[in-house]
Amino acid sequence: MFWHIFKYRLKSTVRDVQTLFWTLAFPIMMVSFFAMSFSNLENISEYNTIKIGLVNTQQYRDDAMFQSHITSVSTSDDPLFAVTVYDTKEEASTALSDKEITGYILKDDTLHLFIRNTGIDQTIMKEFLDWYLQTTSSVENIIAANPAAGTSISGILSQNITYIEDTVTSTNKPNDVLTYYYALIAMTCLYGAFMGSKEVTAVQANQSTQAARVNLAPVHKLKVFLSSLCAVTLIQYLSILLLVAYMAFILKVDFGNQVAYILLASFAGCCAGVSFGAFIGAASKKGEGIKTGIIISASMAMSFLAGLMNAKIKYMATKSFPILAYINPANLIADAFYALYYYNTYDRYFLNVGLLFAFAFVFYLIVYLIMRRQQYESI
Amino acid sequence: MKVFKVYFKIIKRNLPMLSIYIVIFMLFALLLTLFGTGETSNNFSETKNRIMILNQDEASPLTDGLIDYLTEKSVIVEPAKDEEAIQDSLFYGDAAYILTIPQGFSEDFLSGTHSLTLGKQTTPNSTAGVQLDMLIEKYLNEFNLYVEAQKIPPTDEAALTNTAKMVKADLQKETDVVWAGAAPQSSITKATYFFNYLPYSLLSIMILAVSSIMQVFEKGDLKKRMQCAPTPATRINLELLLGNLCFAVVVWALSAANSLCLTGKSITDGRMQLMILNALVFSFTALSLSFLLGHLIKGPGAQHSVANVIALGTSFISGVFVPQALLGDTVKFVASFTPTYWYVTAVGDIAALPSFSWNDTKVVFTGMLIQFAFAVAFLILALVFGRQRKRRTV
Repeated sequence: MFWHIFKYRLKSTVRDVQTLFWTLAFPIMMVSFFAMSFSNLENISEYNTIKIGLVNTQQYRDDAMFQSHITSVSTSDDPLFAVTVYDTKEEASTALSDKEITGYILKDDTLHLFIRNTGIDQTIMKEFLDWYLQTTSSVENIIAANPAAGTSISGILSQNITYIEDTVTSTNKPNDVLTYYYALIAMTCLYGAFMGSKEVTAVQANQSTQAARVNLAPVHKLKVFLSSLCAVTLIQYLSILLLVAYMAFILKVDFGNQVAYILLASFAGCCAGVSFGAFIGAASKKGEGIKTGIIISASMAMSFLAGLMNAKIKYMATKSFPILAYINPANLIADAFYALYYYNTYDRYFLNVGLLFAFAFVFYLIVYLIMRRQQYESI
Repeated sequence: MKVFKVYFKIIKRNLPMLSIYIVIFMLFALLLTLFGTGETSNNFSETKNRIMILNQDEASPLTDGLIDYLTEKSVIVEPAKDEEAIQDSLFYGDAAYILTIPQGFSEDFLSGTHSLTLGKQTTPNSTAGVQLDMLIEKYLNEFNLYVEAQKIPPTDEAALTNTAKMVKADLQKETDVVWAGAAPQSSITKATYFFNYLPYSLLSIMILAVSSIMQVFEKGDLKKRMQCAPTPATRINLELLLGNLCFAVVVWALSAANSLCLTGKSITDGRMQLMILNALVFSFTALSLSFLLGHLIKGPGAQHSVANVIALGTSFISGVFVPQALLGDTVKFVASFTPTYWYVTAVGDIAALPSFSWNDTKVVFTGMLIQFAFAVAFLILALVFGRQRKRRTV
């Protein structure tokens, strides 16, 4: 009987083409969008050339060193600045308000940077000028003390010494972007709740006509329920595996390389997601709309706290409410993947996975308590 | 106006569900504004980052000077006791940066071999990490310049102390930043973040709510009853649209009220007015997109997936969650075919407005106009689909 129901639930789920399509395609579409927006984060040095203006003052013409610095940053293959020289301050000012340039530099006895708004480009300009001012000040000090030392200066300045290095104990470098990807897996797992909720609706006689028919059959309800849940968990698990495979092989997202652990974490996530849906389905007697609303809102809220929209939220949430790290299934799923990737030990991973299974167990227990011996006098 | 009235009956019946959506997604925008910001601000006001220094080296003018400089430019956190506590403080953000000065660093540095490096642990890609890297490198570079150019021997304590003083003085030098035109008005950074995050919430609410309401009209007896009425399909559609429009205005008004409460800004602030106007235009666009999707989506199985793909997906590529400046050119090109991209661009333009002259505000209004064009396009498609669907089924 178990396999009979299992087979038919599997068939009926597969034949619901629209739901199946979205179950499989939706996470892949989402993760592709993610990959697109993160594509540039890894090679962030690709800054656009910033258009700046320069007022041709007497002090600028006299300062060969400043000129050579400006030339060096504006004449390479991919220069930092594109410089336009203006004869008067008024011309530069007009160009600035016409948005031809981001800002302009005016050199008298010190450096002035004229801007109209703030942003990354303006910050880069200021950093460059600050660096120039500070270095020239040092150079002046050195030459004043010992004019002969001046010759070695450009050699010292151009050497590239590494002063700081990452001392990360883990083999894998911490990576913010992964938080988003792992949270997305968590969200997809939790979306399995829709299937869980559907299966519960399908065996509760007061919720659908199909369930009324099923209830007439002389089968233990738990058996019906168990086999149909196994069927949807299987489908959900396959869709998660497809997603993880797509991420790992096509998008090259780093999961570490313990395949068995990854499979286990995905399975724990699936169970938690489907059981959560079953719980909502059994606990709420309201219509489908409300159930969908609750599942969407709850799973989005949990994924949100697991860092789906902003990795920082995950830190803030766990810092402000440490308990959230352990009771939020989305956080547990995402964290299991992160622990696997980042830590050399498995303690945290097994804590997360264990809690996920515990959640699934508790949800199913509640569902069982609600549904057991449910009898319908009249429907 | 029968359809219009029915629309409100449905809203009334589905009020619990609709309010769940509105509350949850509005909460996202609020929380993101409150917690997800601060670190990425790129104005000139210096932010002091939290740093933990684990100094294993003996005291020397070099390390003392460095620590002194860092004390001035950042907030020093007490060193934690053991490795685990150190990791925890990094994980929970108590310290954004952990700097280890290894034993013998000064000696190695001053001898010119530079084989020992400082160790750092930080949250990757964080602004704090980059800023502190720059501070430390700047200091060491300057120090190295003095030491090497003047050939200071590692044992000359007095000369080194003097050097530390000089470096400190040099690093005080800063460019004089002058505001051309109007100086920046009161900062609306917080509001900018809120409005930047808003499209995700607006799109999610609109698509989920409108498609659930539209589904009621799409199935069962209600649809059949409507089809045998002598009302033209276009009229039915327009009445539905009017109902949806009321819903959109309510959601927009709520978010505008939220933005004012959250930021404590007055409605008289010119830039706030533009932000709110921009949000209104986007609400209309989101509404017509939802209206179109309402005609296309069949069944709740697809509803939440479509809502998520469109709301979350376009938000990511348009710069709602990842700043537009960090997106690649190809991504931005693709994103420019979504209204969200133009909304976010307009928010950025409004935040950076130097004045309210036509010359400056032109870009903002262009952005709104493009969003409006999207709205009209979606609407026409929706009306066409609405008509065709009816013809096919009769």
